[in-house]
Amino acid sequence: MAAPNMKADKSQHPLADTGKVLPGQGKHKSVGNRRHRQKHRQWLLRQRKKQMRIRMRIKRRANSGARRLSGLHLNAHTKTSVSSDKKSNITVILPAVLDFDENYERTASHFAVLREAIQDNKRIRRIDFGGIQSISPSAALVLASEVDRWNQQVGGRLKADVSSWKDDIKRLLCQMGYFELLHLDKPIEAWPAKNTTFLPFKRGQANSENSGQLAKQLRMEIETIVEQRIKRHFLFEGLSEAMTNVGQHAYRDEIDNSRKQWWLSASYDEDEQKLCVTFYDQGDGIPKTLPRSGFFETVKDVFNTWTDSQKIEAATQIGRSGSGLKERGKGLQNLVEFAKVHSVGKLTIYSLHGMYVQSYKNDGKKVMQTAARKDFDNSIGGTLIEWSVTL
Amino acid sequence: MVGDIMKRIDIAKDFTDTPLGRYPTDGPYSGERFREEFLYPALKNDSVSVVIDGTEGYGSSFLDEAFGGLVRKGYYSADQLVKLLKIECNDSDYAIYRDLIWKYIKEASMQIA
Repeated sequence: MAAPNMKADKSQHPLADTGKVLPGQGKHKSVGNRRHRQKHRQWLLRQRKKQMRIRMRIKRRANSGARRLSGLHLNAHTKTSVSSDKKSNITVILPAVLDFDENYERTASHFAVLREAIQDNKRIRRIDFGGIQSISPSAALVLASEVDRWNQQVGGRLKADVSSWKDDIKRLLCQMGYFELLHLDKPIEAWPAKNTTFLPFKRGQANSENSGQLAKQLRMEIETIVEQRIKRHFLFEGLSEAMTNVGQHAYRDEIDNSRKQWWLSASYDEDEQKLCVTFYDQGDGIPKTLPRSGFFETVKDVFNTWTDSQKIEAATQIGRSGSGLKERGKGLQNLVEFAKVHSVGKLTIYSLHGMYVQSYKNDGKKVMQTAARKDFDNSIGGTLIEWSVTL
Repeated sequence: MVGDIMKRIDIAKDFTDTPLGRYPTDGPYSGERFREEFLYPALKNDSVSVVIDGTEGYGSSFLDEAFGGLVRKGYYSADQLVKLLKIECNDSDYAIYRDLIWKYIKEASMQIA
């Protein structure tokens, strides 16, 4: 009874024992082995391509609500919250929960529409913050970067009904610098003392004289709100490498350094003593820049079948940057140090459609590490790095 | 030969307290600029002590290019640097960077071997 089943299995895998002696086996064993390996690699490749096709089909089905509005690509998450008037002025109603952890697809979809509108110089008439119930520090930073780009590229005045904003949201957006971004008058009301304090976001650019000073300024602001000295050299180590990566890899086709921008912010939850530092760039993303490495040469047969999260994971390991030079590739490894040296720390990297997170528990004697990754339908439109540590 | 008074470069005071990046294209305080304008000229025919305390910190790109670059560029061998170069740090937090500097010098000598 077992024989037919075995036969069926053999037909699927080229390495299954067919009982035949393959050419090159026997006297020329090494040649045979090489052919075996080659066939095995080809089979693996076919399997991965098949999985990719299935994944793409599922993705297409999920995106069946896709449509276009004034040249903007909308999907199931944005088709009812983005509208356009007769003059093609765009209104974007932001979702209730803007958070990459809890509501990734909807959050990323809305930011993608804003990004597309800004890139295409569309007239954004209104961004509606009124329905926002909660917004994470990372989502707030990415949104700030989009509005900041809009200010630089299109400019003008956005309509915003501040009175409809929830108090907590108003406070967060005020602390982060949104009122200046949106050219709105700052509210004069005194905010009730809250657990979480947000620092104003900072924008920097590649090859800038003040990049290091901005990182130092953020560190000093953090020390003011946490009322203690932090492990500044580890924070600077991570931030300086993130900034270097923006200049060297993130914006490959951009010649103008002033367009190679990054954004940086931090927040502190006093009750949980949790510090969160976020860094974002709107570049090509780690998955797209990895293929230029020497490491890529050894895995190129299967590389294109990797998901974005697998590519991010590979890039965080030593010697796997996008430069192709032997001495390079240490950079992304620097990012983990700030998370590693605290009792509880987490480094999360979102890049294009992937997310890779490394979590650490440090009891002073040994460091326990866990890692996870995830892939999404919608792209985050660059790379977001988030350090979350308990002080 | 080694002079009576060892030359001393304090990175935070003489260069910057925010060293960042590998090449000048990464910014004005890159590892390459430190190597070419401060470290290599000071090292010529003399031994040098480099003080690494007092900065905000260091990324590996800066350290590798500044110190490993001395070997990769063919200016000195790792053995010569052991004799000529002293890395000073009084803050224990920065001892990790002293170790990394020697690690990058060693790695650079293996790369060119």
